[in-house]
Amino acid sequence: MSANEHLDAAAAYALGAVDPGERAALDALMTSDADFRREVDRYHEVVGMMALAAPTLTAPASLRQRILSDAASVRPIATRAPGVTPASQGTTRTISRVLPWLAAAASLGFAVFSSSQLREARSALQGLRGELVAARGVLASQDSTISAFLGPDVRVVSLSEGAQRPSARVYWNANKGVFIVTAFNVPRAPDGRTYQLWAIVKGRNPMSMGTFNTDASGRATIVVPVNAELSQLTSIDLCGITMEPQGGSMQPTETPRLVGSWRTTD
Amino acid sequence: MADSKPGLQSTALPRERDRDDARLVARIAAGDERALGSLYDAYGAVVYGLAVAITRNQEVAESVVADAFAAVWREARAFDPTGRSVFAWISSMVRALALAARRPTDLAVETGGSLLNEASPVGAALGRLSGPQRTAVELAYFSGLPRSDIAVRMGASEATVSLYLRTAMDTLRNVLAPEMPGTAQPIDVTPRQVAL
Repeated sequence: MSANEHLDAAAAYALGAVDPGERAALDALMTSDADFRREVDRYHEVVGMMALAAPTLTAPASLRQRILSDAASVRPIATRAPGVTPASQGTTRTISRVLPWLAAAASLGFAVFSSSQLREARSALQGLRGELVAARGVLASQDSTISAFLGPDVRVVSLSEGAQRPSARVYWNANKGVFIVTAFNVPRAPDGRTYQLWAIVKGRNPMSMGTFNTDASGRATIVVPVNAELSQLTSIDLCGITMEPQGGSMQPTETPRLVGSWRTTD
Repeated sequence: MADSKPGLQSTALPRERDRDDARLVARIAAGDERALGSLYDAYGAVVYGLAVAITRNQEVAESVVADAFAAVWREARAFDPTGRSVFAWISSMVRALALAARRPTDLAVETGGSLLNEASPVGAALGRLSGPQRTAVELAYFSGLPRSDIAVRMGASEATVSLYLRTAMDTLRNVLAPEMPGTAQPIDVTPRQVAL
């Protein structure tokens, strides 16, 4: 491939303007050729910005509520991410500034606050209330996730590349209507690509169970709601994972990288 | 589409939002629904417009946007902000889902008219392309056609279409360079993975 053909392919790949057969070859190039990957990454950002060329429309107000309701029903397994300053840190600092005044006032038997100090104390209290609500949400999420792993009706499938790494495990709790996916040593899908989980039932086309990606350490733990189509099933023969264009595909575009069959947890 | 109207973001580029967006994604990764709402407030109108432009169906477009934000909710911990904006991440997901959600008949009802919002900086940048470059890019981006199909539609060779696409992308990259991420100081928002 000449230098120009290389760039042509990078631009077309970033735009998704390649045939399935060509895509497979370029997928391989993405992992083996750092220069090609760099070019594709630069074009990807242009592709992302192109969305701004579409007419901007006001979505129905119900859409926002729908998104937040969906999120509330399936929380990610929450952890504190680095780089995020917990609101409580600022609140704690405020409280630590206010507390000496409270202590001094208490020791004197009366309290004299300036309006700014009162505002600060009220703000700190509101912050703490918000933190309490968030903490309850996280706790509920973790309880919900743990309970979804338990129970006699939970089925599990282990997916592996033969006896080698990488591997993944999918728990299916039909009662709670969730799949919990844990992946280990699965390299992060590159920009513009994602992993997609498929339910395979004999005699039917593969059905998407959802998309996910792993973090820099190759791990992922996600909760995916069971969609309407899958909720009708009483059994799934196999489960597979493919790498697909971001957003997922209607049908797999490659042979599953990981595949496994279901068993109960009993 | 009578109730649709241009949103506030129609002429704004999200460049200056990069750091705030990365923080929002980190909060989403930590399970903060309010952060998800804030991200939707920032980009919902833009990506909804994109989904409508691709699917030509408001109901389908709503599902597409809902699915994309559900994916943001699930995959926030895996998002790597290095050299990539949150907006590009979300919009590429919406585009992929919208292209996948198009019915076969949608291809038949495509009009020859431009889908561009010329008032936006990116629309204006696309407007600076030559006619064939712009047609090739629009067919690739909004219709999801591969080079071979674009070549058939345009009556050109695949090599020529490849050249159109690459030179168009290079032009856009140069015009939009000041708006791209990469020059901002990165912040550490790589989420931690919980061990079960």
